[in-house]
Amino acid sequence: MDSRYYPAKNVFIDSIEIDDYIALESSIVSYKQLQHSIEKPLKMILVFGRPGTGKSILLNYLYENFKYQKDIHYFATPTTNEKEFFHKIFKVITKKDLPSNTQVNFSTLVDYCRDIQGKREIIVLLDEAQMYSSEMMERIRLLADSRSIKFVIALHKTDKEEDIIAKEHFQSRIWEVIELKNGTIDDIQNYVHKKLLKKNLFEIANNIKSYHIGLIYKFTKGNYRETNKMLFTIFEIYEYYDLNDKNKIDINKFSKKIIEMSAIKLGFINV
Amino acid sequence: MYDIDLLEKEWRRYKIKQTLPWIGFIFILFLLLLYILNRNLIFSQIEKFFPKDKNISAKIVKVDATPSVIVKEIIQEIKVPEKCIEVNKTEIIVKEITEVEEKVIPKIVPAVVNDTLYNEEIDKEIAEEESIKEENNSKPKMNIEFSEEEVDKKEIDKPHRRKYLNIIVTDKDSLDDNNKIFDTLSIVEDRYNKNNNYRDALYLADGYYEKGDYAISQKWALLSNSLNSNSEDSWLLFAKSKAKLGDYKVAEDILEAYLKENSSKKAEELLKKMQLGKF
Repeated sequence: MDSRYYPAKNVFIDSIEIDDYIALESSIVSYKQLQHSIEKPLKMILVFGRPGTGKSILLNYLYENFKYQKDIHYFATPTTNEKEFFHKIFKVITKKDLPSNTQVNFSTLVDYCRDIQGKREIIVLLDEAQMYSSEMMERIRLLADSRSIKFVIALHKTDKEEDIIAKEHFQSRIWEVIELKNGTIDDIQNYVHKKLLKKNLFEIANNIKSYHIGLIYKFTKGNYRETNKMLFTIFEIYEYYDLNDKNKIDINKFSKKIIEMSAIKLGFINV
Repeated sequence: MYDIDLLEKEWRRYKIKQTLPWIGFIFILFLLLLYILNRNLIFSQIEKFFPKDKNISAKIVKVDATPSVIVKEIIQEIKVPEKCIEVNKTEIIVKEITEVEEKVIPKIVPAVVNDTLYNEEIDKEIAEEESIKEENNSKPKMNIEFSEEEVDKKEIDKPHRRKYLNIIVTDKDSLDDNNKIFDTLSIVEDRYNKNNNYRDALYLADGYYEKGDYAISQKWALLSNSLNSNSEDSWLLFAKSKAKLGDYKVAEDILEAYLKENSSKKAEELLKKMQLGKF
């Protein structure tokens, strides 16, 4: 028999599925900004922020919302192999597969893009762009210059990546920058409650008070991925007690002890 | 699934670590509160065990005056912390000396003037003193002349009424406030002038010796000795004063003369010190 905490635990599995997207005030702002940007004749749009701030899910949400309306393509996994990457781009542009033993002639591809300028408007969403080499990024820039392909690049905000962005030739082509930040306590409270309510876990959601959210926030600093990890661990511990030692939990109260145990488990607390 | 038991243990450890500073803080706060509330009690306890020596000491003396012989006995030298003793000539009243242990108190003469027991006791002492005095006349006296003052025998023989010291203990602060710093030596000196008590003379010799007035000290030691040649202290004080004045030869001679007739460890030690140049 499954524990009552099993579904709660699964709510917080980290994923970028559209169903898991929680429309928070801050994320709605970012989404609208991104949506507005792709309507503009911009070559490149940069979405950046620390890991776990919701970049991937934002791109995925955009893709899912426009996949039937626009010529939009989502590259979730970065392709470090240049040949493979341009095979993918070729397919996006020409809608044809290339035989695996052939190689894309890049200058021909650029020419082709110029030819279709004004006829088609292709949007390519590149997640984890920090994985691409600078050479590949330079080629992406050349493709974007053709004005027939618009690139939305999502990358982590670290010192190293900021150096790449800072490169003048690259920066000049980025017309829109959307920065995603960690959530506030209110954001996290809404996020947790909305996630649970989405799966009809009302009782559990009601038991999680502002005090508990404050404690969770203290450890996760408002990072959504860390919050997901923490709540997943909390409900996993709850699940264990529910199945093995019911006396140790109160189903009507959210336990501070279990939050702290989870923080110890995840390394937020160094004992 | 995790090892929940291990996780629980780690959590307990974390809670202890988290709570310890608070326990320490509360403990310090408690001690502080305790100190604030019982400050006076704590200080009084500390003073009880470690009395402060403010160098204020006084000799509580029992004085009786008879027509011919004056009996004065130094009962006990009591260090009275932060207190001072005021001496008055009419009666003995000891106030606020709560710190003095019971063992000491019996020697202090009760301050009741009409106490018959006390009077009898004093009479006995006077009789003893008189017999001693008679014996003294046959014993050798110091062979040193002192021209400044002669003992007025007539005045000694002159009968006068019994007198008592009135000892009033007051706070040092109150003394300071009223500028009541008095000179015990001058009071005793006045009293000596009236009753020619050898103990008063001895007391003055000792007092001036302590003050460093060796010339005056030797005078009083001589006077004391002239009244009671058996008083070892008068011999020693005279010798010590002489030595302090640089007259070591005379000092040694005095001690040797005394040791011929008496056996005294103190005198022997003093003589030895002087001979070795350690005094």
